[in-house]
Amino acid sequence: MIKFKLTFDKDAEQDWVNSLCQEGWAMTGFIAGFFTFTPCQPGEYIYQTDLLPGTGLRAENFASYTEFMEEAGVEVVQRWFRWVFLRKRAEDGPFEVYTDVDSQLQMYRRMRQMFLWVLALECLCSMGIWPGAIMYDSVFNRCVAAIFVMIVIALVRVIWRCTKIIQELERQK
Amino acid sequence: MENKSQPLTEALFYILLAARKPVHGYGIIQEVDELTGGRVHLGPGTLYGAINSLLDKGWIVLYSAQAGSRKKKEYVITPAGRAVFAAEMDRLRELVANGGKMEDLA
Repeated sequence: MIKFKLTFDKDAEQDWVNSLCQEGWAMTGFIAGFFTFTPCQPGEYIYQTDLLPGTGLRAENFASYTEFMEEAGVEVVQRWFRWVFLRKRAEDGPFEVYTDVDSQLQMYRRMRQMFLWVLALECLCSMGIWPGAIMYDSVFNRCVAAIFVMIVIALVRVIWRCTKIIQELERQK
Repeated sequence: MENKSQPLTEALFYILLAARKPVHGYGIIQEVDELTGGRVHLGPGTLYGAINSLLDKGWIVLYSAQAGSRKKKEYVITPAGRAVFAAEMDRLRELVANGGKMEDLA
């Protein structure tokens, strides 16, 4: 089964993949919003998403990360840029990637930094479309501009959400 | 980032303790679970970040990293790590000794 879902919200995506696993669909692959699923026992796996350390969209030390996770009994299902999908069999017990406030803070800071970088890149790339969209009565230019605006709004929302979570975690420290 | 004068987080404290002898990642998770009766459970992402941070600081080192070896990577504490751990133990002893004064008033 292939499903399409585009979200920048790591936690919502993780909940969605886990809810499908409860219905008997195990996620096996991901690329650009397209998820592949194969049948499994309902609730067979627990999925977690993670954001790899790195710069911009480039992940660092993925080989050592994978080796570490596999040694800890965690399956690395899919990586897409810095996005990683992990899973463990539910019968092996609870599975949470980050279990203390410090490491959760680091992860959300990493995520906010990456999305800020993507937002900056997005704004830079969109500079070329504004003169066309504003000065010429072109439906194409305006559609492209509308898509850019929608992406920017989605990015600002996720950056805002990360900031709220970071503030909450800092209060807990 | 922590420096030597700051208290260790529970995760760092228990990782340093587990690394008193060569230990691999999953071994650390298991030992910390056993020592704390499951109260402190280290998620693999938390452990991965903490181990890298300890390696960067030179408080632990890689014990076995033979190229092409199928053996799991093991980590062991360094003299610098032991010094930090000892300082933390002194701080905790002082805390417990001072905490005992609570009963003096009763």
